Amino acid sequence: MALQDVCKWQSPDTQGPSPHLPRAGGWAVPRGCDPQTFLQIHGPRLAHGTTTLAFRFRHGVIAAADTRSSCGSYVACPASCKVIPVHQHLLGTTSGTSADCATWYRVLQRELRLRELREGQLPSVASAAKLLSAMMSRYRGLDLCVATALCGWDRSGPMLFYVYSDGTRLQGDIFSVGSGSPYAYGVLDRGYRYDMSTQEAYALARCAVAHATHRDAYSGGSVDLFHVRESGWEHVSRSDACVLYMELQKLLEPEPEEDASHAHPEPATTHRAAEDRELSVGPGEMTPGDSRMPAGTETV
Amino acid sequence: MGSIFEYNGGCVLGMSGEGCVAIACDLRLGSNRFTTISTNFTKIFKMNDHIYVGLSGLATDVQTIYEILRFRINLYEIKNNIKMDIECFTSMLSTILYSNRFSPYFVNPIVVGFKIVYNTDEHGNRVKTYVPFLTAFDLIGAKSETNNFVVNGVTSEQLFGLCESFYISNQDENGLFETISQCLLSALDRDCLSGWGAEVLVLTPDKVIKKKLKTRMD
Repeated sequence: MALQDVCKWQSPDTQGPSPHLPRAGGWAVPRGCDPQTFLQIHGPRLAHGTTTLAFRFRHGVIAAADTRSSCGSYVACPASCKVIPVHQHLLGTTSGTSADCATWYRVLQRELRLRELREGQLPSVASAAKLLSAMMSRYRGLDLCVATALCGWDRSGPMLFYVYSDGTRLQGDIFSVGSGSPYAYGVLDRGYRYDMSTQEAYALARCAVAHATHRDAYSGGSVDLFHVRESGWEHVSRSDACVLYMELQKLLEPEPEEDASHAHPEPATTHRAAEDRELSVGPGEMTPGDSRMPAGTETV
Repeated sequence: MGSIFEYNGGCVLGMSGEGCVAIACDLRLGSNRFTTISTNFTKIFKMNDHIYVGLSGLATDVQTIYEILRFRINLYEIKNNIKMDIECFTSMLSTILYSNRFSPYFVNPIVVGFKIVYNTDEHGNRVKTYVPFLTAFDLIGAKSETNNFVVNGVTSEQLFGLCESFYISNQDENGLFETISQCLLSALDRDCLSGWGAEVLVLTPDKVIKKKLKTRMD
């Protein structure tokens, strides 16, 4: 148009979901070698290693995670939060590089808000997942590490998607992500039912993360539990992982308790047989509830 | 510390007090860095009444070096009909490690115990004194003798910080036990690859007190 030409106005770059960050080729790069090699040699050892899980059931989606942020073998933060809210009906559990997860989630929050304003309604979980995976797949090969589970409630009910920074996007009922995920999967697979009650679901999620923190070196600290319902997300609890694990072990003691949650005996008994074989933790060593330091003394 | 030391994880720590010494270690045995396969793997070994060795590093080398040392010290005591002295022991350990200079054992030892010093008192009697003795080594046998504390393992940086801050010289047994335990517990909370239980031995010339600490199991 005439005015456009006179002012030499350029229409903005409409190359698809743009995070308004420099294009993949436009990032500052070190001279002399490609970014990947440079980072491998000189790069910082970024925070990795975690246990996060999410599963959907009749009453919504549960998201749980540990709170340890590790940098190599150093515990950088024992009380970090790995579940990031995107909007009132969408949460993401994050695993991989903390900086990458935090930034890309902010970008996702912004893009979803813009979409909401443009289209008049919040995009579904499926399209949020598509947006995130499309944005990140443009940076494929540059060592981004974002492994996340998007948990939300949209027009089609509770919904759960797994998104990875290479562009993977999978819908499912149960996902566990991170270095502690094999241990969490073991507990989850044993106790999961779509028709669980809310309390059973909370107990299952806490049990799974607590067991993972016990076995995995890079998971620990506390267990964060979130629940996405029809009315929005809610932070249910943050409980210390070790205290939780000891309580679960107490439930394995001879007298079977008829406690509120049914989920406990089922996943826990299969663990007991495995534990006896592998760990030789003597009965005198771990006395639950004893807050003083020495638990056993021998004098020679 | 290269990543081979992170394979199994673990740490050891020694401290001296007034007429007593203490040695402590965590009890984790990891496999391939991530997985914990045992919470009962002690890294402290008794060589004789006054020599204790703490070995952190690759678990297979920990066990091998312990067996080698046990063999050598027993042979020495049989041949020479005398209990091996701690300075002689540290020299022997240093030589064993250096003999593998180009294919090292991946262990970081500490030696904690008492040096026995003979004096004559004013009546002309021979008097034995037990002097606290601490030495740390690197994987190829460099000795470093100190009089306050020694640390080794994947958690050594955290332990150094805590020991520098909290060490008090000339404490008695109880104070020494408190200090060494608190340093170890705080360090283990800041390390992914050590923990899952801890053990402390407090040594005096005539007795050894061994205690297990309750730690976070994550």
